Amino acid sequence: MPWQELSRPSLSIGVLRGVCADEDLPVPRTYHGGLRFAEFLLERSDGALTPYEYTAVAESGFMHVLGDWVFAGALYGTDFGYEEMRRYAARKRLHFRTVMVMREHANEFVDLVVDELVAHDPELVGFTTTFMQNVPSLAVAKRLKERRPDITMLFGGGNCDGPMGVALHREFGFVDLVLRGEADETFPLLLRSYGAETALAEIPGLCWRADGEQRVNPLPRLVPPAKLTRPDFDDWFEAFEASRIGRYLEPELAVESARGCWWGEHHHCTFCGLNGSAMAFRAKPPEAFVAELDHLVRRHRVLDVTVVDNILEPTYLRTALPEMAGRDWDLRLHYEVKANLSTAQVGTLAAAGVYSVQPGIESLVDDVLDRMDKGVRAVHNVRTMRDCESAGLTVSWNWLYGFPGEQEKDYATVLAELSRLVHLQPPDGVSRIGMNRFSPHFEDPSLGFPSRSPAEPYRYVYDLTAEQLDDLVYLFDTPSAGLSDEEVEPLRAAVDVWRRAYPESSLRRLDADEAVVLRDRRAGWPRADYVLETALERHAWKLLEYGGTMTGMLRKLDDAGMAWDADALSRWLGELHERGLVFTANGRWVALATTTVLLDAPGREDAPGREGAFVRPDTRTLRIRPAHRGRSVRDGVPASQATPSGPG
Amino acid sequence: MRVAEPGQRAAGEAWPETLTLGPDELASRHGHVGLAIARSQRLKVSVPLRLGTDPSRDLAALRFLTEVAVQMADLTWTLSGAPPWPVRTLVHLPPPGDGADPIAQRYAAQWRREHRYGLCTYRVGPGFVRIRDVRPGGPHLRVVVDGPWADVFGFLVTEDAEVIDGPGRQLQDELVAAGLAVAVGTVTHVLPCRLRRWPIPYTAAV
Repeated sequence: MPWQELSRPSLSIGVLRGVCADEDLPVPRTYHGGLRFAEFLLERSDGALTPYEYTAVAESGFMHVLGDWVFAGALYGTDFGYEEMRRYAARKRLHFRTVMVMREHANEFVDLVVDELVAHDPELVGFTTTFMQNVPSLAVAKRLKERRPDITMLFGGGNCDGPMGVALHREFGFVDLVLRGEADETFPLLLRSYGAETALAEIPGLCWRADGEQRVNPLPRLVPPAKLTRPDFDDWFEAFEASRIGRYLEPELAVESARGCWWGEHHHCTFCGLNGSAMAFRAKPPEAFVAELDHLVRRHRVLDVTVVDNILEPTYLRTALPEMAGRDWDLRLHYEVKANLSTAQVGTLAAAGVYSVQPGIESLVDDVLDRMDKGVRAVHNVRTMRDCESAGLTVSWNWLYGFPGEQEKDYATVLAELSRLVHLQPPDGVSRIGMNRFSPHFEDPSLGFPSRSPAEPYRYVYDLTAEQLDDLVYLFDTPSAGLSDEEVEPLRAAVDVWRRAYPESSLRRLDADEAVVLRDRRAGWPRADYVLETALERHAWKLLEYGGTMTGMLRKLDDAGMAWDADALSRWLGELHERGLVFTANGRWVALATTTVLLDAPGREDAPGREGAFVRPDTRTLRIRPAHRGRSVRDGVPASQATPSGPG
Repeated sequence: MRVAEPGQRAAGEAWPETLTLGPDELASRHGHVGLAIARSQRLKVSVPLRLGTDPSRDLAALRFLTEVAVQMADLTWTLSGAPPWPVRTLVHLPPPGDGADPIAQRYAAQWRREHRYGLCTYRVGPGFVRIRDVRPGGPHLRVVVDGPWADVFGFLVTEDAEVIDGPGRQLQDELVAAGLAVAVGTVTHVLPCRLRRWPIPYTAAV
């Protein structure tokens, strides 16, 4: 259901199709409600509500549950939550007009979905729900149940993890079954035993009813790595290619190489609630993942791949990724990584086609990184940013603040450093942390958030009390901690300057004969070439590229037979710092010049943001391949129509 | 550490900011472009380039511009006269900074105005090639070159694709008909640039 991303299939549905095939069960018929809603909006709005508008809500509406609100009227009645959310949106200065218009279409859409589902005469309809898919799914399930009480309504997915699934089953009587936890093993079990009440008691993670009473089975085991199944996306690609939406978007693949978080198993980042009840890290055998990717790329002729893992399995840097690099395909993959990668490892990512990463940088303040139990220091983050810039990797990151106990003075020290970083990719924004279910901040009030309540906008999408919402929802309101809104203004201003300066800034290292040249072309700094001519300077610069303390540098220089007087090294570092060539925090230093030259895309300051992923709706798709008896086959349009039409 | 302010370097220093190429050097494009990238240099063509008078020079210029685009190098060059193709044909390649005459200036201005990275690219996958053409002023195309023709495509973009027979000729004709290749003398030049390096943000090329 909405708000699944339009350009890629639901991995959950793909995996469930895959496990059914593996278990010799009939592969369930699927319904891609997100694609269908985007089509419906396009049609009903005469082209005004395009996939761009849909995507804007899908990507940015979650913190205010706007996508759920679009369907709240369809679930509870036209006026439910309408005025309240309108006032809330005005107070929060949200772009609200689009979702208001979408809401006008939601009721009719739900009827359409129910009609289309009933036409298949199903016995059981399963909804996989994550983030803002709850209310649209509930609206359809409720109306479907009213129309056909004999159809069993099953819910599963991230929104059903832990107590949320129990609450959803408890509060919505038309939901017959909720399957909590990873369903790779339990979904086939449910299908096999469907209808037999005694068997339902044996299905781990299932919420069901007997004699009108809710029964909650214990959570299932986490699926072991060797049992993580290859998804089957055939149905989605068929639907996408047949859809008008396919004309707006380039299709992508969504795959997983691992579940859980190896860092979070031991040091759970205090604000992160992403892994729910499944933190244990499990990676597919590398050869299995590469084979899966190979299969999906060949089958669907798609080279853009989002790997949904919460963190890259480190051994893949020695196994799967070099294997992929060796194939010389022009892949573009997205991965989430930890910001402790070496320069060589970043190079491995790029060689394998990983051109988009989310390294979880979060902050450049050591004290704050400690408070979030991030396991990296600011110099590590800066080194990762530098190396990603060198390798041409797009880095997604947000600067998070609002951690209990953080101090303005610690930010002030780092703010003074930020002008040195303008050639590296700036944060997408500066955001106060939210409280998410499953995070340490949620689980342990002693970490600084002693009180909480379900996030305000949930009141405008669910007709439930705060007590009922408490177990159902994912986002919570808390009194603010850490920096005040006023105290964070200097950071916002510095980030604004950074974002403006980045497109026109570079600081590059080039190796000339007997010298290292640091070519500085950053905004706000003198245009200059700095020349490191002595072997001692060059070696010290090499050490700075890795990063470390002055004491460590002195020791390593000494080990290399290049002893340097501490005062002289200090003066040299001071000069580098004065010229903005190094970043320092808490006695650690790191060099800032990018090492592999990445020449910027012309006009990158004008580069589109997410809308860049959209193509014109009149885009034509051709498939050219040799045909039998000497004639070519061109699926799509005749050659005459595909010919460019005159001068540009 | 010595500070060398731009423009105040000693003569003979090994790291000039610009690598200037004569028109005869464009044919050995791979070496020059790679060298410039390794040295963090801008590329500059020393004289205005005129397209449409000599097929071999045209081909050298087109391939040079294509290589610059693939490597995402930084190039400054000047156009002379009007090329024998509409701007749309060339708009995905690095545009001239200026024109040497009024006709060239108008052509160059439109080229600069409409250019952005990634307008006409191809990517290689296992057994297929995906071409994406979103150059302004014509139909937007997504083309999948499939099966044995994927190998033929690989040949066409890497070899001197003189008129050839068999499937290569057939594919050439298809590409020309779709506006994805142009005839330069007896040679067919495939226009899309291979997308091997991505700009930052990568969304600039999708």
